[in-house]
Amino acid sequence: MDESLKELGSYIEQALGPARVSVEIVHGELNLTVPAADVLSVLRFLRDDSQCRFFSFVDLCGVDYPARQRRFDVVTHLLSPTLNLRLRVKVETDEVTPVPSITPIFPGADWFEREAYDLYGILFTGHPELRRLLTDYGFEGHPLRKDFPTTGFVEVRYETRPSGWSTSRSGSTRNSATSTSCRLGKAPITCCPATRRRTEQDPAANALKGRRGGTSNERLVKALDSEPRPVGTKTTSAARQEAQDG
Amino acid sequence: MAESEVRNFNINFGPQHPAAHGVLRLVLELDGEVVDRVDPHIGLLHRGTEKLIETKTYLQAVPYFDRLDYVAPMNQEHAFCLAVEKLAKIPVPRRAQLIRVLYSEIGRILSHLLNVTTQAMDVGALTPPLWGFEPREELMVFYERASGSRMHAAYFRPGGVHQDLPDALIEDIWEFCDPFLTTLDDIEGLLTDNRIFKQRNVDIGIVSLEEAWAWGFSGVMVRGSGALWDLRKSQPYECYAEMDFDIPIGKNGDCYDRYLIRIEEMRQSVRIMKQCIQKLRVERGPVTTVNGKYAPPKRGEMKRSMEALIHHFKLYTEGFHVPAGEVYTAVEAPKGEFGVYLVADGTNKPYRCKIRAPGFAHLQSMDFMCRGHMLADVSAILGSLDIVFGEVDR
Repeated sequence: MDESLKELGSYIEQALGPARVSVEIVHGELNLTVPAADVLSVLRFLRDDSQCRFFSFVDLCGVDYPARQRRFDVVTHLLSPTLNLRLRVKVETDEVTPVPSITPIFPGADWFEREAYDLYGILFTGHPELRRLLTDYGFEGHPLRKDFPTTGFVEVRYETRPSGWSTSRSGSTRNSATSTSCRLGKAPITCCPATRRRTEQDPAANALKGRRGGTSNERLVKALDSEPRPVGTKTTSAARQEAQDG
Repeated sequence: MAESEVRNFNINFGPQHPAAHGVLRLVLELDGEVVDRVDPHIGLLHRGTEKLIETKTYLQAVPYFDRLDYVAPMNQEHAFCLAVEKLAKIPVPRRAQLIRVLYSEIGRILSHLLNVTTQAMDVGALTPPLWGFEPREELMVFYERASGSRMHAAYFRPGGVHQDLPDALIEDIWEFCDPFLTTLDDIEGLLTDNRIFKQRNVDIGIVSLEEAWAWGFSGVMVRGSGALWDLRKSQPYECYAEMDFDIPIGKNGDCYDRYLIRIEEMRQSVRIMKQCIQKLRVERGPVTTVNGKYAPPKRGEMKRSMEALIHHFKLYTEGFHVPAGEVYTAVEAPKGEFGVYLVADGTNKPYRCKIRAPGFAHLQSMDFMCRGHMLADVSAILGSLDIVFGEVDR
């Protein structure tokens, strides 16, 4: 395998020239480093050349090296089923310099580039629809960057039930029950209706309510009927907007 | 109605639709009953696995892989372990290799059983899932008896597997094999020649081989379109090279071919499992690498040897260090090529761990596969893609 990789590496180097590609073999894998301007021509050569035939698109992802001047690597993995070999193409870029999208050559790169944009903020030119993919509707920031904390910038807290909550359930108290909203970092805190429901079905909580008067079942039905709505949810309203836009 | 008032109809498919296989939200644009555009919205199960792995030691990263494609957990662990082993040059003992292959094939059956039967359910048959889930449950018991957990096993570790298999378990897996083939015949009897099943699947969702490669398809999705391509044969890892099995391929690239391939792959998996068991009966020896820098010592040894104690302590606190470098390793997971692109910087944590999930590449093709099909075919196509959201959303 190593022999054929070496052969292939020197063939690619000869065919494309050292200005367009630099070749190295590490850990038995072929690495090509390509300037951003030449990505499309190099990939087209790799796909169409009769001695390469890298027509199977495998993967595209970003890698962040914040210490570097151009911090991002866009790493593409290709497979040649005819040669039974793999190779890796690397392009360097930074937060503001876009790299050419490879979707005209490999339509399968579409979501992979959207993911790289979503998680790293890498920009691609010529991509049909470069919008977020994995993160929530209305999410801000690029979470896989090394300077993005693992805990994120947003804290989600499930509010505790205020005292006297189960005894009076008029409209005004419902509002006060869910009005806890403060800002931390960029986005507002949200409370999740699903989790609320779970706490209300908690047998221990029901037993507590039962002691205060009324059967626990009755209370449960009441609690479920008047499900508190989440407040201050920028994210959910954005989601609703998205749903309307289709 | 005036021509100008006629407009396409947008509907939401999921995220709570039973045929959406988890938390998929499809925004469908319909012209009458014909699908004009499909826009899958994913990420509802996004847990930031890749980010979390960057903050965990190599050993702590293993359980995250169970939670990707949670239908065949060990196959994912396998790709990660191979990546670590390749970078750190850790040898894997032969008995561990056999156990890994055995459990990878169990994983393949687990996944295909779920997919084939729920695909049948998506097109209206209720019995196959009931028949298929019984052997599935038996297989999960084998998972549990090996690792202590039915699903999230964390059993494959860099350097081998966590614990040796008891002989009784190996014999019980042997006992499972032949009756399972009969169950498979029964399930096939329900579906393969079933008129309704064929009407819903034959010539639906056809993908040409050229398209399949360009869209990043792998596994059953390229084999269904006629590619003789299986990583277990073409780029063998572990001891697949010495196993004797066949690769079924399709001719038409439609949903029905993919179903037939999955059924046949389960039969071949049983064949591989039986060969593994025969080899495991005679092959004795360690199941993890004996290098104390990468795998923990035995309990008894730890009680007596100071060095073993130090190794144990270091492994479970700091974890082992992996030399700097980058590798891409892939395994033939049930759903296709599951790859791990691992970048190490010489510390005890991965610098970057990109998970290349087959389902991700398959799902993005929903748009071109469904275009021009009827609304009812969407669920048949989705079923034949074999999507699990753990791995798509990561």
